[in-house]
Amino acid sequence: MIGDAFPPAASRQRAGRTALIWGLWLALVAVPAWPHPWHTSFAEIDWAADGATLEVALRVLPEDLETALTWRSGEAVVLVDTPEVRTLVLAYLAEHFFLRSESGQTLHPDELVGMDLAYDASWLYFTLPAPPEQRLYLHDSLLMDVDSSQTNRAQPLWAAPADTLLFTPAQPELLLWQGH
Amino acid sequence: MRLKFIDFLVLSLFTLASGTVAAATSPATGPEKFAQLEYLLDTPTETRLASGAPGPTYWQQRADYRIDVTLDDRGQRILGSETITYYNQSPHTLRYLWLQLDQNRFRPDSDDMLSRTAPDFAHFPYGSLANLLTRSEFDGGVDIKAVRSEGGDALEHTINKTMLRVELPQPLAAGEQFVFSVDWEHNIIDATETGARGGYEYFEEDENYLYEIAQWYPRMAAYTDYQGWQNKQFLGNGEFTLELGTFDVAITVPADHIVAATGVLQNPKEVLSKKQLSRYEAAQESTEQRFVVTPEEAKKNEGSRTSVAKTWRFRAENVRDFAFASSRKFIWDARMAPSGSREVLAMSFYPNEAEPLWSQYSTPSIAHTIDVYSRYTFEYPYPTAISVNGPVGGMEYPMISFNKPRPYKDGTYWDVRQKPEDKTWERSKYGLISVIIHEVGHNYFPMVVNSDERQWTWMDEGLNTFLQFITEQAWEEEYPSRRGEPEKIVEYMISAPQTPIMTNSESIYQFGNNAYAKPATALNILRESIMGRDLFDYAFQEYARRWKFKRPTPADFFRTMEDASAVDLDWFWRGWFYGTEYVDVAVDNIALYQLDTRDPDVEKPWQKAEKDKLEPTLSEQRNADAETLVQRYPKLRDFYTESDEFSVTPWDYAQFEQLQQSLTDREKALLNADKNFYTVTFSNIGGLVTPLPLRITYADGKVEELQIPAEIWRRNAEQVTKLFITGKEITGIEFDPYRSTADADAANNAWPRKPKTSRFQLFKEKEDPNPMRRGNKEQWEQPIL
Ligand SMILES: [Zn+2]
Repeated sequence: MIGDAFPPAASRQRAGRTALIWGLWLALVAVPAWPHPWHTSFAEIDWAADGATLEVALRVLPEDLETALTWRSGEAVVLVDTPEVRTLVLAYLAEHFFLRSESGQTLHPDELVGMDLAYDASWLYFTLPAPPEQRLYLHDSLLMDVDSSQTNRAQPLWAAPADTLLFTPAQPELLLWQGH
Repeated sequence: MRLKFIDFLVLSLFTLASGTVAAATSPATGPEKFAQLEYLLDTPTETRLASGAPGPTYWQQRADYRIDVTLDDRGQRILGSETITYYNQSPHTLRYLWLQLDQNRFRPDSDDMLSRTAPDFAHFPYGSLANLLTRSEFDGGVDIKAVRSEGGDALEHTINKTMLRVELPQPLAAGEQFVFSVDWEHNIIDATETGARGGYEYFEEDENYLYEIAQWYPRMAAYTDYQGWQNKQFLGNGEFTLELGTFDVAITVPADHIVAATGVLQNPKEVLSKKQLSRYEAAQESTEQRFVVTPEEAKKNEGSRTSVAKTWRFRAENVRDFAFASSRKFIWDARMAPSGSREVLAMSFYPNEAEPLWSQYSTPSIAHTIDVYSRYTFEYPYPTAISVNGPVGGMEYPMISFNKPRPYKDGTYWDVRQKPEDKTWERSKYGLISVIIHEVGHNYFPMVVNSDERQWTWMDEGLNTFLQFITEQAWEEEYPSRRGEPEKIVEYMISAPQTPIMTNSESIYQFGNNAYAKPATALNILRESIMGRDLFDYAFQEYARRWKFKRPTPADFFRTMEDASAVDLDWFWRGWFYGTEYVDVAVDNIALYQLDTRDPDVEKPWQKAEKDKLEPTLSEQRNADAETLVQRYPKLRDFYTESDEFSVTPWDYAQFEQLQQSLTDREKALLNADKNFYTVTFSNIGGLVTPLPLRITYADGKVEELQIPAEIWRRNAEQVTKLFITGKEITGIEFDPYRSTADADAANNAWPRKPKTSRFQLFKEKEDPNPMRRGNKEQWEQPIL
């Protein structure tokens, strides 16, 4: 078979209902999760010239992001580059792609600089404020709400390629920056 | 550096591989990486030959099925009864038979359910909710009503989860057959909520169901020469290992349903209206696509409710499985499509919800697939090729595949709202075309080249994804393939944890990349950069030809590719299929050596020029005006004060003369050749050995491209030094200019180093207007405020 490029259109799920359903999970023995060949994302991360901002180029599967935004907003979202969709994307990133500093601060993406949307690879470009003197942890749980087999990779450009970070639902937060 | 001529003669090998450099690292890695695979592969036998071909004692079992099935459209239930003729073509006597009960995967107490690890509640996906609830509420599993011999006697049997063992009344000797029957029932699962490989979809608006029925009958487990009974439980990932045979299937459905199935419809006159029948017959005479059931007719049919049933009869030969789809909602289009010299009936079945995409792209995608695949393997051997739209997607069965992409409810899909010249709605179109190519392509691997999916996912998914890439690229220029190009696999290759491709299907990490993308990319690299298209295509086609309607193992593939090409690929299989290293080569060091000709008329002026090139030191500069002792007292001067160390003396000529006499003519010619000797050091940072495609730029602006085979790493796989001899000055060397090796870090690929710009930076520097502004010239020329 092929990757299930089109996940179940479960738009009837609402964020508000999750608390209720969480109660139900605890009563169940196991988690069904359809293993899925496609679900990955990739982020390239580097310091901006100012040394206090991280610049992120993030590749996602457009149909998965669409599904996530649809679930989140409660109505069908078509992933196009409009101000409304940008607002949704930035809000989604704020929940699933952020930094936690040593001092306990949470730092969310502050600007969606642009999007390059195409079938084979869709890229989002955004920035995150980041205090370089602190140890920084990256939380990357992107699209893990769409599929539990989602894995996300992030490559800090100051490190060797082999030091790419791999985020999984079991481990969505990893050390990104040692601080100086 | 000036190389002494005599030293040069000692360097009879132009490649300075290993040698002094090797001592510093670990010289054993090269021989290990280039060791033959022998002990990793099964020992060849007369059944599976050392050449990779099936041998004179090759055998496989066979199972023929006669099935009567009723689809209960009220209760979403399957009621079936089958007669299986099992042919024991093995040289062994069997005392029992194993059947597979795949529907038992949906029992609440199945291994699939019980062996799942507990969820992380803090990060539990929305997407799994529906799945989880549906699975826990669904009354799944197959109800075996009877297992009987041909004479009608009950046969003793035991159910072990997804497997059923039938005791034979007498041992079944080699060459004998056994006929028996099974009656069963099971509920059909809601495939919109579970991501199953078959099931139903309910349409609230018109209260209709669309069924895609698969893994629906108790079927023979495979008995093989390499495994015995393949009776690994079905856990969900590892697909199927099946026997080939003939199917005669009678499918009883409500009379207003349209049925698509594996095989050829045997009774079109009984199940089709006159109008449908004449269109169906016309479609078989023409390569022009036409409707058998139009969108309007399908729409109208949605309102029909009949209590009458009809039975559709299908026959399929030489297939390993049988699937079907049924609904009131189906539009049906058809045409003949060539595959080599054969003609195949290509058909698509889809509800109105799949329009406008499906009538435009589904059947053309089928036709394109069997055309391109046939050029690399064999002519499509079946009479029909079908694509069905429904809740499952994508999933492959012999002659029929289920493909899910569909527009939104308002008829748009993805960014169809943007203007066509913005190349935006193609995202959805390509999603559909790619999935159809992939699923129809599975007819070659594993439907006909009948590999063991339960054991080796990559043997069908990897090979199929590789041909999918070729087929996509033949659809149109710059087709946006998601898999196939080497650079697209890099992120996966450098990630951890990873398992080798040669890992059992149920234990793979990062399933899609491991079993689909990595082997597909490996084969693409093998074809484009290592074997070349001619040698690769010949060997790949030979593999397909040898194992058509037979059951290959990985060793048969590895061996055939070498056997038919005379290319030793053990290092490649070892690195790409048995290992988890990645490609990262760095161009490290470049040194220039020039030849000392010993001709004083050449060498002395050269030495002088070299010395004159040096700038004076700071002390020399500052002392320049100061008077020295010798200047003050000329008496201190002697021969050495006056002589120029670079002037040529008769002694120099005599030495040169002597040297000339000791040399052969060939050596003399070499000595007079005006050559530069460059040594370039390459470091293998990633560990996976690779050929070195290089681009060399010369001072005169000329550019040369060459490829050094991977064997350069055979003595030392960590670092090698290569000698280049040229009459010109080299100004630049670049490794992998065409991104053909899956090299992980382009920043270290060139000398001099090329700065790497981040994607973010590139995006900011890009001056293109964004796609939304491209439709209107006035708009794109306005600055964004
Ligand atoms: Zn597949």
